[in-house]
Amino acid sequence: MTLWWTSFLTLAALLFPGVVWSQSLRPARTVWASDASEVPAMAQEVETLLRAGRLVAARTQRDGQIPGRSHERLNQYHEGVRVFGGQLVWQKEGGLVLSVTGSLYDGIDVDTRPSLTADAAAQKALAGAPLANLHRVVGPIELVVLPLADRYVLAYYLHLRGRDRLDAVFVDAGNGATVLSYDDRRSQSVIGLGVGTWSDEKKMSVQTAAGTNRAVDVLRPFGIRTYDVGFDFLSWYFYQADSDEFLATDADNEWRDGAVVDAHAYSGYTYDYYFKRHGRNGLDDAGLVAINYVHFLPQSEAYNNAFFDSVDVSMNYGDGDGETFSFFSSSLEVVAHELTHGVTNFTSDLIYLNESGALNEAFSDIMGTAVEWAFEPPGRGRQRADWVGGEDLFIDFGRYFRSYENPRAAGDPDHYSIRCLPPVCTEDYDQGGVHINSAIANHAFYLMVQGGTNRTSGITVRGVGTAQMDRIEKIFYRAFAFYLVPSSNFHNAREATLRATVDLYGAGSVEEGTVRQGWDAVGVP
Amino acid sequence: MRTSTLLSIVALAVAASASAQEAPASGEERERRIRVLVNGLYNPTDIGFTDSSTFTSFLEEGRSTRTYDGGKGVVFEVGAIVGITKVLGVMGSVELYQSEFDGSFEESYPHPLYFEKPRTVAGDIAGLEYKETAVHLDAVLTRAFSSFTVDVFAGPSLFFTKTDVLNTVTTASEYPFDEATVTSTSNATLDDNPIGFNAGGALTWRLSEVIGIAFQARYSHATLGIAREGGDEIDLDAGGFRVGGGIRLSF
Repeated sequence: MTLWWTSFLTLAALLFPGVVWSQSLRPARTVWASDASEVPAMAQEVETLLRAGRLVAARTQRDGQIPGRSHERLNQYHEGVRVFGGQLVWQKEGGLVLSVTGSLYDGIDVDTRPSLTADAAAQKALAGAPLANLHRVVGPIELVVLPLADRYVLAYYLHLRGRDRLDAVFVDAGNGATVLSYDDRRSQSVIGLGVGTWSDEKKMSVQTAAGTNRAVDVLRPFGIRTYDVGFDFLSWYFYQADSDEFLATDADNEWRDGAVVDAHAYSGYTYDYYFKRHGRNGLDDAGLVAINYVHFLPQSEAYNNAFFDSVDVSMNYGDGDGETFSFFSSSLEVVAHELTHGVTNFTSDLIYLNESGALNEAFSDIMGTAVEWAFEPPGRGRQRADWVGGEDLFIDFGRYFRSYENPRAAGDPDHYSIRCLPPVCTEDYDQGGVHINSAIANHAFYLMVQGGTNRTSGITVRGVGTAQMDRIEKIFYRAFAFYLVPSSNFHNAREATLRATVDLYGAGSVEEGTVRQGWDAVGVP
Repeated sequence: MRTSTLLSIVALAVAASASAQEAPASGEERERRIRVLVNGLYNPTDIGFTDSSTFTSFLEEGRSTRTYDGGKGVVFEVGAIVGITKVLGVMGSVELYQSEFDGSFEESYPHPLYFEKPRTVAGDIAGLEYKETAVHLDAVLTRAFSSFTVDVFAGPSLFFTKTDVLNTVTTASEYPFDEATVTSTSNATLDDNPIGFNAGGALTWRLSEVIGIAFQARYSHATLGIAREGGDEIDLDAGGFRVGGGIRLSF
């Protein structure tokens, strides 16, 4: 079968040199020795292969993360010809091999004497290229052993540059057939200029690919993708808007759709905050890509909200009615709030009902405010760090959804004793008060940071001050991310934050006193 | 072009003075017609220069400042004075100067993700070299006293310079990109051959009709027009004030 297929491919390639007949590489043998018990034997084997010329040192990289370590790449060779893709990396420290990883190809039986010259191979490759694209050979031409799925082939590896292409081409060094070809344009990370909803300029980490700029952040390790659904509600509704065709794009890399710019950039800010402040790598702490959808409902819907979709783990930002509200991605605090719902989703997964639901909302509010304070200058005004929530969504600045300093000013309780209970707050009304009773925990956080007196209890809290706000943030993050469970209530939150405080700052610490005072002030037992 | 022009002038001057020697002259004048000079000089001036540039990166302006210092050293000079008349002559001489100097750099790189949050790296560079060969062609006024000769000279100079500078600073930065670290630096040698001038004087104590000991001071100057790849032009001068002494051999 293999012989027949090979013969067919050869004949076909001779008859139709421009057609690529085989497009797959064979899997290599994985080499992975990182355990102290495995490394010495593997290192010995590497030494043997090096002496035999079957491995050749290619380049050494300094380890930027752990001083003193280096990573040397060793290319696989067969009878003096590089085996395409075969490579080992050995990590060393002070001459000691710490690991050997990579992949090698076995059973290579190819004759390394080419029938064609490199120039002849280049001509063959050009002959098979579409003339319309005005191809030319660029870069070096290298003789390699190509590990195709069905056989090893001695081939010339070269690049053909077209008007809008750069193809890697492998020409059989025996018969001149093109045995593998692929588009070798590497998509590139670039920084674009984004103009946000409020005319502020931000850097947009995007990707250049296929001649345009796409809202794909590849600088951040977890990645962020922002989709402009273009009001195609049905595609979004059926979870079909996450294809590349819906990715927000911009030809000149000066992004001026505020909804896209703010969703994309603020997601990055929030991810950076979680990484730098709490060491968290994405929503799931495992590098999950963040997905934003904007313009997903017809503008006539005037959708005044944003939400986290726990099914496809996406953030969805409404366009606002354009009269009272602007885009719901226009507020850093709101974007951070939604992304924090994602963090909750992968941690405590607090049930979105009653007290646990209020804690779910409170954690998003608290982290949203923390992100705002981390990136915006303090003060009153648009895009300023303050102690009210949602103020940047309002077209006429001055209104807000919530007040952390004085919840009662927004109609919310500032004390556990006056929390919203049935028959007012039921499953049918704000899921048992998730957006109302959250104010109690929000206010506790405010008092712990800023200090002050609770208007209901009269208890005064000595806050740590905004300069040390990060200490309270870390306590809340630790409590909510590691100690709370889906059914946790306010009392559990109090206990969890106290436990987190002891973890981080020790028993009897100033912070422990502050946290205890804060919860006492808002009446949480 | 400048080099060949000046060398042509030197050749013409030497040829002219040589033909002047063929004219009849008194014995005393004839003995003093050609004086060969060999000097060891000291350059007390630092090579102090700054290489500053700005660049655009991640939509913002980055900044690079390299400061260089040091470079005092010894200059070796050989040449000859050819007397045309009793008081007027021409002098051609070559100064060879090589010195080591150090530098430091500070680079500010824009943050890829945020405006106005630059990352700064700094470091030192040691063991840089400055090489200078100066060809001076001077008119010389000579006044002889009982056992001393005073020469005052001035004229154009051609400098052949090679200056080491820090060329590239390679840095590494990982997410979240708030800091950058220097992984390597590379130097470049920049050539320039500017034309300048020189002026100075020498006092020679004639030990005999043939040999004398001289004290010499000379100021020479030319402005280099060098720039590393991607950098702005560096403001650096060749030459300087050099003092020292040597021997004079008269023929």
